[in-house]
Amino acid sequence: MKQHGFKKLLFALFLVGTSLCIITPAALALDETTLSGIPGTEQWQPYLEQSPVSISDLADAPLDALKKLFHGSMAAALQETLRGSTDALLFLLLAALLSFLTSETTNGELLDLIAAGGCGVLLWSKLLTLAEQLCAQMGEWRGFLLGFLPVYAGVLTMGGETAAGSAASGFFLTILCFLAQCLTAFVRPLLQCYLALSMACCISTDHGLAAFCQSTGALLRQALHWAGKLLALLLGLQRVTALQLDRAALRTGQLLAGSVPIVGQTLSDVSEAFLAGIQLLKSGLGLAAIAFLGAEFFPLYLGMMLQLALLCGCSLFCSLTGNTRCKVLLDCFAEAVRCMAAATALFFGLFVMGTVFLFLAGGG
Amino acid sequence: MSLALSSLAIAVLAAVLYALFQKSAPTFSLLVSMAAALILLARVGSAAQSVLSGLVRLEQCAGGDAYGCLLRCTGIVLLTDYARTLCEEAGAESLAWCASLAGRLLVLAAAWPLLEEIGQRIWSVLG
Repeated sequence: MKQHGFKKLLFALFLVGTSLCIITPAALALDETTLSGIPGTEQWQPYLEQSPVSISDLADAPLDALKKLFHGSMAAALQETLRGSTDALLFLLLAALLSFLTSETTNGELLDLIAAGGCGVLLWSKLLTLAEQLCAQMGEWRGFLLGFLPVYAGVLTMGGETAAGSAASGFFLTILCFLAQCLTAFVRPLLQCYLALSMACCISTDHGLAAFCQSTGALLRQALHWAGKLLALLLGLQRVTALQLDRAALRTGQLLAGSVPIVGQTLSDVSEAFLAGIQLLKSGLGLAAIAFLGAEFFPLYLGMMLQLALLCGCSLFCSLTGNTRCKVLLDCFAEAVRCMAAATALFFGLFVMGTVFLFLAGGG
Repeated sequence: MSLALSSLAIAVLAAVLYALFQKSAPTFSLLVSMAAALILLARVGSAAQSVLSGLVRLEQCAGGDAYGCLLRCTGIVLLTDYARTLCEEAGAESLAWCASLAGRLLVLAAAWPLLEEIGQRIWSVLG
């Protein structure tokens, strides 16, 4: 099963893992005294505290921290998805049992149609609930990013990375907010249209309509895939440019400070100690934000994957029992879930990648 | 096992009688067929009842209305099919067609709430 969303997720996990390995020594040294001299505590401290796991825990024992992070929420999300979808599976099972009784009747086609309609009605509300969850989550994440990224940009600017700061509060924030806004506004109506079209496919005997419906979903997923690649490329390019600019500005500053006799050396030493604290704060804040969003993203994404697996299982079951109408309908629904998962993975993947770029490059 | 064997024996005996009387007394052969069918159904009645009550119990877990609708439609389809086959056996082709049409209409009527719900959901998208 080809899933671009899953690839993006793996890439995001890879980035988080790499960054964890790099910042581990620094994070182990993270304590109150290291960050006490940095101004604006009331701005950034809440974001550090908001993290579901502490950065030191994450660096010290990543597996235990991840277990602690996902254990409760994952189990709840899985239970909720299973509870919502098993009635559709049971319905299909009973429809298959009834089809044994009617296998030789002339109106079997009519019963297949009713089974497909019933299955569609049962799953429709489940998928809409999933879309509503996604929209609500996107709204929350947008609110979080609107608060977090300006603060993060301030920390970057404080650490001498002015260009990176403007990029974080400019292009990066705009992209993520635009994406979140689009998803919040369009996912539900688009899904409703898609579900209506899928139901029409199930009622109609025209196979072309079902193929059109599925290829529309596949096209949308492909568009998201390419949009993700393009945005990642843009973010990467911007980060590289910002890094060059910031490095040049920092070297000029160091050169100027070093040229001042006696005081210059002391000034340079103090600034280095301050910058080390800022770098630590930058990494800590970045990881805290990733942990905060990740704790909400993974249960949602896993719920979608579980829903997709159930739909694929139901589709396989229908193809085994020869109910082609139901199979076509379930394939269309599975495509809708794939699209939602791809959109969610795109958002989270971009956020993780952008944040990791920000705190890894330029010292972190 | 004995129930299955005796039921099969009744079916075979009825089929032999039907074949014997089909040419000389077609009405009688039809009555034999109907009577045998009734006896067969009565004999498997307890098994059918337990299956039906199990299905009805499962209706509550399997999405209520949709499954109830499917169950009713299955019952109608089975009855209609039997009535149509009997009519065809009696040589009443037009009556068989009518039975088939009536069955389809009844199925549509039974499935109407479900179809209406689907329609309403599609219309709600259009505004």
